[in-house]
Amino acid sequence: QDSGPPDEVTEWTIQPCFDNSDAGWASGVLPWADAVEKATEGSVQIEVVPAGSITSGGEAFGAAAAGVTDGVACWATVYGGDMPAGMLAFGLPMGAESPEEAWEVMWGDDYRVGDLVQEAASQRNLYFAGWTNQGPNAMFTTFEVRGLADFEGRKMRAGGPQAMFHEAIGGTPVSMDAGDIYTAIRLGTVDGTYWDTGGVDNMSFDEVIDYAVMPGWNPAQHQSTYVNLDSWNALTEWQQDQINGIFEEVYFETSRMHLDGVDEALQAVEDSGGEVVYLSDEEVGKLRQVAIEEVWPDIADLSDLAAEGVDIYERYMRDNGKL
Amino acid sequence: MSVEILTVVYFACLFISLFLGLPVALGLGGTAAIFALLLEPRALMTLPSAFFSTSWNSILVTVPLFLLMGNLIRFSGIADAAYDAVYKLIGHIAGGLAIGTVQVCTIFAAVTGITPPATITMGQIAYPSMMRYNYDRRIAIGSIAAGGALGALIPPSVPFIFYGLLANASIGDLFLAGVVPGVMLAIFYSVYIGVRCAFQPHLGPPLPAELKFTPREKLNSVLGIWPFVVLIVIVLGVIWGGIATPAEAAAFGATAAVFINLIYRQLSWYVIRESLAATARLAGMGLWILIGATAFLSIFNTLGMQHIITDLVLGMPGGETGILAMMMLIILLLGMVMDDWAIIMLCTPLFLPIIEILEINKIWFGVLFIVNIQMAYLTPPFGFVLFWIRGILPKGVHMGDVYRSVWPFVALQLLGLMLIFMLPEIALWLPNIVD
Amino acid sequence: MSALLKLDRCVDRIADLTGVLAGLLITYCMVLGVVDVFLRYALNSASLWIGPTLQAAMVLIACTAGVYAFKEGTFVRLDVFYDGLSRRTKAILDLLTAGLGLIFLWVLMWKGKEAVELALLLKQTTPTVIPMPLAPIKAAIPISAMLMTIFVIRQIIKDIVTLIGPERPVGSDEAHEVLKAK
Ligand code: NA
Ligand code: NA
Repeated sequence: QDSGPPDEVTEWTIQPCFDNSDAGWASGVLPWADAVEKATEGSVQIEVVPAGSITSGGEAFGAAAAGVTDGVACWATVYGGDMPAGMLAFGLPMGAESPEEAWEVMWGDDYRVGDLVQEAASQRNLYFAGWTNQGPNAMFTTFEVRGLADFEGRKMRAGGPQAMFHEAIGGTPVSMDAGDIYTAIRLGTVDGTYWDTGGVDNMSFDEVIDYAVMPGWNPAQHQSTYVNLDSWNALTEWQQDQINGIFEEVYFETSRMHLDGVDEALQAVEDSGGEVVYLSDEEVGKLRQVAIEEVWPDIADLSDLAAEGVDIYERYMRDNGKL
Repeated sequence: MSVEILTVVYFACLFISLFLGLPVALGLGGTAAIFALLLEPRALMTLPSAFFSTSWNSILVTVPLFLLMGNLIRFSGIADAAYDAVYKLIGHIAGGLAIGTVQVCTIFAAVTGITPPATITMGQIAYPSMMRYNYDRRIAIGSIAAGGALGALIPPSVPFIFYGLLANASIGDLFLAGVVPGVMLAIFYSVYIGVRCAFQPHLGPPLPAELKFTPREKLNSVLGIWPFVVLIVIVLGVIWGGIATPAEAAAFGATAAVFINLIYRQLSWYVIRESLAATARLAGMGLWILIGATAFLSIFNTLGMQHIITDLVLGMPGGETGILAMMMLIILLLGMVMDDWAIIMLCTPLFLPIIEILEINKIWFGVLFIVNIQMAYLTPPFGFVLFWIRGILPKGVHMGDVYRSVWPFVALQLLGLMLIFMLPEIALWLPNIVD
Repeated sequence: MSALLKLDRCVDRIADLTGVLAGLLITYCMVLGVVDVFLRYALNSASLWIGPTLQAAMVLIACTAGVYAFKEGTFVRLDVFYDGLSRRTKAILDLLTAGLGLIFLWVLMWKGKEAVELALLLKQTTPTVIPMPLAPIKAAIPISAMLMTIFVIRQIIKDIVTLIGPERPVGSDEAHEVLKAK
């Protein structure tokens, strides 16, 4: 009797920590929701509402945990204070460099970092149900960058792990509202910002910055979808299997969509007279060293599960000759 | 119950409770609470969440700090001296002080991205002075309210930034497009005050003709304005000089006010205590209204009422003009109950697909949107500028006085909106020549 | 009766204390706002701990200043009809609408407490370099709602006294206020 959709339709409301202007909306959470509806043969219906509809972006994770919503799509840079092990799903700075590498360290038989994230989610009454790679989270500057040394003394808007990283490479991180960044760059209050590459054109940053620095400080930034555990447990085993069954397929499909968005954003930077800088292998190596030596230990300090995950990440890097 | 009826009942509950005299903040929050309790109990958690996330928003720190700046200047008595100087300088023009107030608000608008700072500061400084020189209360309140609302239209503008983000429109172009309409409205207000007071001098009495000041007295009076010049230069300077964010600039303004008091030897324990107390009273009132409004909007969305808005727009006859007019009307109506950010967050995603189908210029629509939101700030019964003004003015001033003061200015805003609607060049001229 | 009066004074004193706290928090925001820019601009050093503490201060300002403003009667009402009414009619209307306000405050207390419990469960902190725990800050929300509830209930008691008490001549209310102020 477990091999088909139940008669009763389950309706979920999911509020991400971002609104519908974010790349993660059309290329991340919506395709996942569609895939879930299709895989469950319509027995799970999902309404995705923008941040601010039910609760603010910053409170979205807690709202899903408390059952105010049925789920949340988010970055660990936002919910990191609620679940430090989420950084493992977000992607460690200069860790994986492509969707394939990230998949390997999260779900490959030798590593299974994803299980640690699932455990952390479970402790918070959540189920880790969806994942997508958004491409590089990078530096966008008004000053010329050819290598690590160029960031010395530069004021850049950075939050959470970005700020840890920017300080580690000798810069001065500045915190401000997303809505203030554009004006601040234009006026020179900051010399640039850290941002996810695919969203740079949505924020019109291409109008005010001159350099996009690839592969950024995190070549494979990820967004994760968590479903309230009570909502999840209310599904039949068949529905749960169907949703788990689309995890990998949706991951690679949406990651491709995101990477198209990254290409478009970089094109927008070039179209408005900016330059896309691809750092040399040597400089990328320096960035990686700083990230692993200075930022990874700070992430490991945040929780036991995070520490366990950072250990596995290091083993993965060694196995692949990057450490 | 259908969602249409639910929407009507939801708003009716709010308005009835407010008109029966319940404080606005409690009316907004109470309506949200009771509907969530009856219809969607799991959404109740959004009420404390709205409280936390509204006040956690870092741009909001500008509210208490600009309040403090204004209060420090006001309690020290420096403002009276400076306004006395302004009076000597332009006092021979009927309505001169009110016109001057609009000009200062315009300058303030170029410093801050939101509405409260200019409203709050001028409400505290200009209002008592205008009363001292026997100005009509309505001209005084109207000039402060209308001038203060310019903060969102003249760049930098936080509403434009949020619209630009959601509409995927150039923020730089939006900023440029706001300049001419903003200046145009400021001129409208000034001309209106000047003409009205010329015909009805008792509204803004000019100096008696026999009272003349020597050039030396006038020069001294100009020098007397320096604290204001210093405050504006500091606040404006640290932002446009790329030194501080708008939130940090507010801290500079308040600190500068402390030092100006120190230089004038006015920094008494009394001034500090009273300034802080007045700031706390106003900030507490304003923040709770914002929190209540956020809760009200969250429950509005949770109960699925936002669909009503899309249906209303799409069901509108009269082609492009009809649809645009309907959108403007909806923004105006929502402006009765919501703050600017909430309206932009709610309406932009709903309206934009329609705008794109009709191939309407997004920059132009953005300017119409923000001019409209300015009207929303000022239209009774519910407008954020109205509440700030009412909170700042002495106890004897009633909400009814405020309502009666603003309508000529709302009419001028409507005129401006119509002009921009018929002549899109007013908004698009500047971004076009810059590109 | 004197016990009630004492309680009344005690409640007022608590509200005045929240006013003092709000003043201190506002001063903190002013000083640290300038210090932040100085550290960054003059010394070129990061001060990422300042931002979150300012945000936390704003939440606490909303709580403390809110209670103080409410007690001082600065909460704005649409007094278009309200102000022209007699004391008695006002008292009746206050009683009618107070319920709605109390429901809001009650939800803030009830769900606010749950939000604090959730923050403790999640060990919620700011997602910043130096993590700051959110539970103590969130705890201020139900506490301020509770204090405000006390003021609303006190007003209800006064309204009931107005209703059942003898009709007082116009102006005695103001006279009472003046006397109290002295
Ligand atoms: Na402005
Ligand atoms: Na309005």
